[in-house]
Amino acid sequence: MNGLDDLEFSILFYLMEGTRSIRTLHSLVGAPISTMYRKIGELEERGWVNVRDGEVSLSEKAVLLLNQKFEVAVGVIHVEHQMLNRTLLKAYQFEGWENQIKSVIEISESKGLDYAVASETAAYLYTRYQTPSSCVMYIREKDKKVWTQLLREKGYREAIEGELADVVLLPVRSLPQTVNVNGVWCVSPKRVFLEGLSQMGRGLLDSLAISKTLGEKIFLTVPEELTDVIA
Amino acid sequence: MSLLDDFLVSCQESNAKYALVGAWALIQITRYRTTHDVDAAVSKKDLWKLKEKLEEKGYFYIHNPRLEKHEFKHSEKGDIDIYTENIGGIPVEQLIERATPINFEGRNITCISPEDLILVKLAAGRERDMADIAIILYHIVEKLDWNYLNEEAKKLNIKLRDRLTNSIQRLPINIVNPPKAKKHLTEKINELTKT
Repeated sequence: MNGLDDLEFSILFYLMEGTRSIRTLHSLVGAPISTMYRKIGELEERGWVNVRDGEVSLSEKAVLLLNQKFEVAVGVIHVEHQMLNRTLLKAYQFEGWENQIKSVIEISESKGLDYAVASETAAYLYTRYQTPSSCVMYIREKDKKVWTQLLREKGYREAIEGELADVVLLPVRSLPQTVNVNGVWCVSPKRVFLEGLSQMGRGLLDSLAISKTLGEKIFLTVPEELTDVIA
Repeated sequence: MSLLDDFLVSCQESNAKYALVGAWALIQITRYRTTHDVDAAVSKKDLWKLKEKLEEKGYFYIHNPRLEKHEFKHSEKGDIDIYTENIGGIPVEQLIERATPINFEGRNITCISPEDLILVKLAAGRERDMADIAIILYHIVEKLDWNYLNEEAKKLNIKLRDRLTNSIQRLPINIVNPPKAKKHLTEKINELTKT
C-alpha cells in the first residue's frame, strides 16, 4: 500500500460533507465502480473511513485529521505511509521495553547500525506519560536482514497473529532526523506527534502529551464531535 | 511495598472483598499498559475496615462525592481510588461477584471480569478506554460471554455494536496484520452483538 492518492483524497473530500453510498461516491468521483470498491476498501483498512451496509462515512481518525492545519494533515499521511511496512518481533521471555531498548543500543553500538526510536517508545522517552508496550524504531531498509538476525540472536522471534510484538522495526530508505534523549536516538518530537495522530488510541494520547510538553510549537485542534473521547 | 501491595495486604488484613478495575484489570488479558495507581471496586460494608488498614500504612482519606469515589493518597506512592456504589452504572456488588482471580508475578489478585471491564470502559468512553477495549477484543473476542455483554449493554443503554466497532480503530501499532485483525474483529462483533 502507498500513501493516499488523488482518488482517495477525492473520496475523503466528498465524505467531509456527510455519509455517502458507494454508488453516490462513484458518480461524484467519476471512477469505475470496481476501482471505487477497491479504494474504499483500502481506506477502510487504513482506518480513514467506516463502511456499513454500503454507506461510507469518515472515521474518527479522518474527522480529527481533516480538522488539523494542512501541515499536520499532510505530515500524518506521510508518516503513516512510512509506518505501513513493519517487521514485528516477539521476545521469547517478557523483559519489558527497557530491555528491548538495551538490546537495540547494544546491537547499534557493536555493529555500527543506526536506528531511530519512534512512536509510543519515543513518546515515553520525551514525556514519561504512557509506558510503551513495545520498542518501535525505524531502521534502514538495507539493514533489515542484519537487524532481524541480530535480534534473533538476542532472543527474539517473528510475532504471530494474536500476539502483541515487543519490537516493531520500520524499514525506510533513509532514517528520519534524530535527537538523543538520555542516550537513545529518537525521532523529533514533532514527528512523534504526527505518528501518534496516525494511530488514534494510545497514539493520540501520546500526541496530546507531547503537544503539551512542547507548548505552542505543535498544537492539536480537537473537533467538537470528538471532544468527549479526547477529553 | 508498592501501592498495589499495600492495597492487597490491607484487603487481606481487613477481609475486604474487592475487584481491581482499570489498567490492573487489563493485566489479566495482556501487559499492554502499566500503571502505578490502583482503582478498585470494594464492598461497601468493608470500606471502613479497609480505610483503617490503609491509614495505618500512611494513606490519607478523601471522599469525592462528585465522582462517587473514596480516594486514599500517599505522599510518595500515589493514589488508590475505591468505588463502593457502582462503576459506569454497574453495581459494585455485581462486579465483585463476577470478578476473576489471577496470579500476577506471584501475587493472587482479583480483577473485574473482561466483560465488565469492557462495559465500564464503554461507559467512560475516553480515548484510552476505547484503545483498551480494542486490545481486549484482539486477544479474547471469542472467549467473552456475549450474552452477558449484550444484556448489560442494553440495560446501560450502550450501543454495543457501534461502540465496539469504533474501538477497533484504536488497535495499536504492534499487532500482526492490522487490516486482517480489523476485518476479523468487525465480522465477530457483527456476528456476536445484537442490533
